[in-house]
Amino acid sequence: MKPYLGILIDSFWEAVGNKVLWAQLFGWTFILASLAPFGYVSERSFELSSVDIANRDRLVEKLGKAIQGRGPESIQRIASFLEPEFAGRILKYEKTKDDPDLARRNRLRESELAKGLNAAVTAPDLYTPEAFPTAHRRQRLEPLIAIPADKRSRADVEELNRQLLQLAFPTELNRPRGEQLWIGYAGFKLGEPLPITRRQIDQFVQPIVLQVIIKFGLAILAVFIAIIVTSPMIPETFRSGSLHLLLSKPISRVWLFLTKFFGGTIFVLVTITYVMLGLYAIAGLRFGIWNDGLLYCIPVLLFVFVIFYSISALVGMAWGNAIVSVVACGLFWFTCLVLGIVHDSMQPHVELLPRIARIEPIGEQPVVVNERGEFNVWNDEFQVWRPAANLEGNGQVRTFGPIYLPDRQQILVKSFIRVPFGGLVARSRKLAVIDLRAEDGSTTADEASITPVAERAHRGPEEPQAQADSAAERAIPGLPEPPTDSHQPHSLEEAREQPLWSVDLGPELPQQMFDLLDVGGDVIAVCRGGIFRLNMELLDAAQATEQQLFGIRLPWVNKTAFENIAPPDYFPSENTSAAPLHDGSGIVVYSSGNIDILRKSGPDSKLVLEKSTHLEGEGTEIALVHSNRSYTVVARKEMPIAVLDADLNLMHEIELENGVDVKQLSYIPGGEEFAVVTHAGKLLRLDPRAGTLTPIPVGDRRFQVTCVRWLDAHRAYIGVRPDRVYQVDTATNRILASYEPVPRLIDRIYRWGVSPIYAAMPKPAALDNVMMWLLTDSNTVSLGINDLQQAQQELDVWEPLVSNTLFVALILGFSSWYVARKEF
Amino acid sequence: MSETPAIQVTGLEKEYRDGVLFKKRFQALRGIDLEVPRGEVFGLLGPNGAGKTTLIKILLGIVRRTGGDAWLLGLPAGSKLARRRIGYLPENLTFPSHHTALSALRLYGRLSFVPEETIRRRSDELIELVGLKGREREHVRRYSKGMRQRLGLAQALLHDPELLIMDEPTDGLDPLGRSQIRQLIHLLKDQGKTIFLNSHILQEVELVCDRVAILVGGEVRGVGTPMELMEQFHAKSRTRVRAEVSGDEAAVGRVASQFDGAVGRLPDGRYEVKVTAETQADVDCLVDTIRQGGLSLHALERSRMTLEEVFLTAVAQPSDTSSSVVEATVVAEPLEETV
Repeated sequence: MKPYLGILIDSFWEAVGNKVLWAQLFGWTFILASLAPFGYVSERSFELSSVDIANRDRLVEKLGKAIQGRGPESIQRIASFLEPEFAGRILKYEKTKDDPDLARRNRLRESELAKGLNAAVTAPDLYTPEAFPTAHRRQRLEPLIAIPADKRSRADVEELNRQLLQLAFPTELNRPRGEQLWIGYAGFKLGEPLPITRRQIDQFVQPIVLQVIIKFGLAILAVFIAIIVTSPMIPETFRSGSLHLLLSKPISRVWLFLTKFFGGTIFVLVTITYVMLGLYAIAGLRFGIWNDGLLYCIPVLLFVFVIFYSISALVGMAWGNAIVSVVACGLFWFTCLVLGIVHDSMQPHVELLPRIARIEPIGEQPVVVNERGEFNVWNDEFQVWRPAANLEGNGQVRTFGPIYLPDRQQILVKSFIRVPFGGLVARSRKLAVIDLRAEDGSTTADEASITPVAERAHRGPEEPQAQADSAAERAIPGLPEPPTDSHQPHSLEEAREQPLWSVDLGPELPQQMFDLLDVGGDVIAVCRGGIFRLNMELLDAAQATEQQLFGIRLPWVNKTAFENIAPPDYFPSENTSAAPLHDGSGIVVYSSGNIDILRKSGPDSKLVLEKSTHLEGEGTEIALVHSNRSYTVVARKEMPIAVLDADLNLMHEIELENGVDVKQLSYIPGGEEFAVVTHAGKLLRLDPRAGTLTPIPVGDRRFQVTCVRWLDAHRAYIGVRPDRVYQVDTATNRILASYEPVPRLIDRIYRWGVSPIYAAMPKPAALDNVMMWLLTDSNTVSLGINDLQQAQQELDVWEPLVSNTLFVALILGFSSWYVARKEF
Repeated sequence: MSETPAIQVTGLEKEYRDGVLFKKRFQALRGIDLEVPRGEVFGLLGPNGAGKTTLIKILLGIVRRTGGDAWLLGLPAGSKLARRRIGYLPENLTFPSHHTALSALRLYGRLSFVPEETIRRRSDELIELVGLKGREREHVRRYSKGMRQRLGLAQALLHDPELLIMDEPTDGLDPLGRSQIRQLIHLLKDQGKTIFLNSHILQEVELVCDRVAILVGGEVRGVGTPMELMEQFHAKSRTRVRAEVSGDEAAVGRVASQFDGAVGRLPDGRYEVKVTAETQADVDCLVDTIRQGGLSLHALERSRMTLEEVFLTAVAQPSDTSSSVVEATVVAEPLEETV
């Protein structure tokens, strides 16, 4: 191999002698040197900053009242510490807020509010038992209050006061973190404190920022510079002047070509290694992020270059012209780009968004909510999922519910449009109420169904006739008349698009809702401002929002349909998840790392905190929680599943493979076990005693499960990708009923056209998935940051590696054949 | 092994195919037979497109033959073993621009499996031999064509080959450089090396080559020493005779017309008569006629062919008269003879 080693060494010196390489290294050095002074500036502080203000208008309103001596004692106490000028500005705004122009002029910015309130945060004597009567009962406040006022350090005072402010403004202020974090440059703070924690930065921001730098800086810019620089290498080598001399040497042509080819990659290897080591050092030294994935990205980036260079080399050898090589590379890149864009833009609509996210049996019929947030029922005639109702928004929507109230023959559901960084917005906060009762209020138990769907659903292959024969027996009791003719679809298109039911506007939901639960017949909304129960008496749409007398609005008789039943001072945080207890006697709540079991108590069935514990961790993790008679299970993002006993003692921590997150938790009726659906499409049985996870067989082994809804200990509806639902007997692994919608045109185009071509074609851009996997150590990417149930984009790590490797092997193989056969 | 010729080619054929679906065909070599004994300096002559480069490429294994056989030093032409024992100096040689003379020699030495120590030692010797001493650490991109040619020669000799194939070795060299190359060729011949030379400079070929082959249209038109070729092609062409005479102009005209020649007046008033003579008897007859015409014969010259003329004659001949290997030994004669 000595001659070939000689060619490689020669290629290295050729690269070293290249001025463009040095220019590029100089440019990268400049960029890295510019980035190096960036870093975190962290301060332990309980002072407020603009990012702590959650609801500016309500905060100002409350302060305005307090300054005038109205409202809660605690806020009045806080207001008494405000600077007179600041208090005056608040009053001025409050007086003029109805005039848009004046309101705009007098409005206080978040930063001004934070600064003004800091007068109270730093006041040594803010706390009085009279103003804050419940404060001493708070776990975090108790030790601070116990310190005599004259012995409290400044830090103690600030922490105490900040917690007191949180008590006074539970929904207007974000939870205190005790640390403020800035992006700094050479030690100087840049802008306002960051609204997210260091862990959230590591989890969400860091991989994205690094990937952007890597993708655009290296995978595109550096690779294309490298292509331009290295494109003459092969044509020059295979030019007659030097080629005949090389070919006269006692070496193999094929190895000459291959060593020259891989020698050409040295140039890129030098550049990439230099930059990645620089980024690794900066991220580690300045941000404390020692992400080894950066170093593992070096061979991946080199591979990206190799893909393009293989084309360049083949064309360069055949045409002997560097410009033709570069143009060919450009065309290849463009082709891959177009195909990638077509594939990536279609994929979510075909593979991701139609997935069934939730199944709710109504009678014996499943209604479903998909990842797009659509609320669908099965249409048997056309074999499609048909929209049940027109809800808010299109595309990325989060739908709460459906909650079926059998006694009232109503379905409650509400959709919010997802906005970046986890926010939910809607034109109206009113709950959507679908009334299934007939006009006269009667129900049509024996003759009707929403559709004849469930009973005519496609049977499993095992006993089709027997199942079909029993169809009549599976009529859904308590369901209304079928839709009128005007609603009856006459075509597949209509069946796909025409909503089945009309929706009434119900009562307005409380602000910042995290979950809407059916807890033993009670509809409970878990919100930022507390836990609210829907007053069923006020559910009827006509009465839900206001009372009127002779057409005149009477605000004093307005009743809110949702009443807060949370314990005093109980305010869930932004990352809250909740689930009903197995017997409907209460709920289990995960909030800020705390697991709370709240049970209905007393004549008014308010919730009382029965048990509480804190899980180790930062507390900002998003999670799912579920509880049965004896165990509570908590699945946090990128953390092991925690199994707690009845007293909330931690029993087991169970790791999932490949850093996959849990998508859905549920308990299996009639036992102690839980079912876990992962974002990788696995349905697992969690045995809380043994702390083990075992697969639950469901029909076909290739099924990738998206959700599960248990009917009893052995029967369940399972959602299967892309948008199928099966009723399965898990004891016998038999499919009892199947709901397999007819593919749409876009599905067919994607599955039979785009997807096979994409699979067969090289896809250098898809290697981003590999880099993302290396950077995050997870093969799924969250689309949202505060909803663990939201579908995660799976990173197809191996397929691009395999297809691109095959492509490179094919091109190099063809080039080798060509060079061996060609008569130069 | 020592009995085997350095180059042995029998019935060598090469057909190139080109165009869409390779339907265009071009016969570059049409059954060549050639044998170069060891220790000989052999020249290959031929016009552009004659197939010289194709022949060299086949010998080096750069292109595949379509018929016949070719052996180098008793080994199949183009084999790796054969290539190990060959030094090659290509025409229009270029080196990658990042090289110096020393780094280029290091690379090509490695490609020829030369040990590092030998590369270092031989590099110094050869740099001096080809006259690049003092410039060996300069980048080759600053080299003149002649310097690159010298470096090419150095790399061809680095692994001490038994057979040296040189394609236009003096191309781009100044007269001094050409002379040095000639001396080097003689030196290598004295060392027992076989040298296969392809050059357009016929005078140079005449000066250094023991034997020469003329290749035209993919066929060998003649092979032998320069003298053998002159004899071969002299026999096939008429001798030219030039006479300087004085006397009556009409008599001069009659002589010229009798021998189908041409008359010209010289500056001193004498006449120049140029005629062709098939045989010596024709020359004698010319002298007799001049004397019988009352003219004075001042000078009589018989021109002999140069290698260039041989070459041109060979090229001009139709292909069916070609392809004979001349075996006879011919005593060397001066090119021109003055009577």
